[in-house]
Amino acid sequence: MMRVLILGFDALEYELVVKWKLKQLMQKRYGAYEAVKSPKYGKPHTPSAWTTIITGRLPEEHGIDDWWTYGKILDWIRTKPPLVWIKNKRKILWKLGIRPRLHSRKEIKVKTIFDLTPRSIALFIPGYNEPVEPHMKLNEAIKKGINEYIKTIWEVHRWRVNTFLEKLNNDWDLFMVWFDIADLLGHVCMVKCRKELWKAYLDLARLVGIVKKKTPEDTLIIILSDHGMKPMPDGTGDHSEYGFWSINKDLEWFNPKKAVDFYSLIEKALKM
Amino acid sequence: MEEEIEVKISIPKTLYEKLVKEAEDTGFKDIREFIIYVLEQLVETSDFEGEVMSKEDEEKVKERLRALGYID
Ligand SMILES: [Zn+2]
Repeated sequence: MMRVLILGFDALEYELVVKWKLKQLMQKRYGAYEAVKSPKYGKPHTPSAWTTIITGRLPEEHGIDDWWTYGKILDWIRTKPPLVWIKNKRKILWKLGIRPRLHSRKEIKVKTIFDLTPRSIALFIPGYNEPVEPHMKLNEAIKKGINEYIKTIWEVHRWRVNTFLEKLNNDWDLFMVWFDIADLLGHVCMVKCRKELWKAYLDLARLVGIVKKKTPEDTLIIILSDHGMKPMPDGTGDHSEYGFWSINKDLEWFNPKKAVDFYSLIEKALKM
Repeated sequence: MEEEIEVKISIPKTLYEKLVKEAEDTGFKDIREFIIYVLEQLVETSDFEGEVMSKEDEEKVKERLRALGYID
């Protein structure tokens, strides 16, 4: 059995990895694949995209298509008249004491890669088991301005790295972890502060180096993004239509073309 | 390959040690390759010309994040 480690780097952009010549992120084989579109947003969106990656199913089948939920009934009513006409619904509901929560594995309607082996670890996976605290922290930080927001993005990142490196010492056959720094900084810095974004990419490359030292040689390391990041005319970054992948072994059969392909590729690797 | 010249410079010891480790972790062959890489990025790509973000830019970022459901 081959051990599989999946480093989920949200919004890691293929073009930037190549442009910035980050060999550590490109590993032995790398490429781009077609990201999955969220039916609700009409473009790739983080929770639905990662849930597709871990289930091999489209959002219509796995059932996750946003970060937050108020539960099935309220989510449904919100999209229908008359509630759909009301703006700032979230604020109003908050005042009424009704809080949304992040989607979790209970709501995923199909099997995930974490059901493939009893010794699996899922850390911070959107749609599956993402903790709410970083969202709250970032939400508060941006109210104080963009610099505070960027500072907090780095703080959250360091906390994620430390938590991850600790858990890496546990026993596992499949380990998947998610980092949001390339996405969060990408939205802010894709056009106006690229140096900051480059620093983040370099930091992810360094993390890969540290991880390689800590994992046995026979571990398959898959680096994966759910979509990339493209510059927008308004000076921000937005999700691009393709994602990045790379592996540390010369496995010729590992050739993802679409987001739904990863499930069976991971399953195959685990059986090797 | 372009002709190279030998340059001798002194750098602080702690910085040198940091760079050696950083070069190794980020996947560069050695500290020389890493230093050339960083300096090249710094001098040759426009990615390093920092713009100052205006209040208007900040608002556009917030709009983008709101539209993607990241913030309220
Ligand atoms: Zn994403």
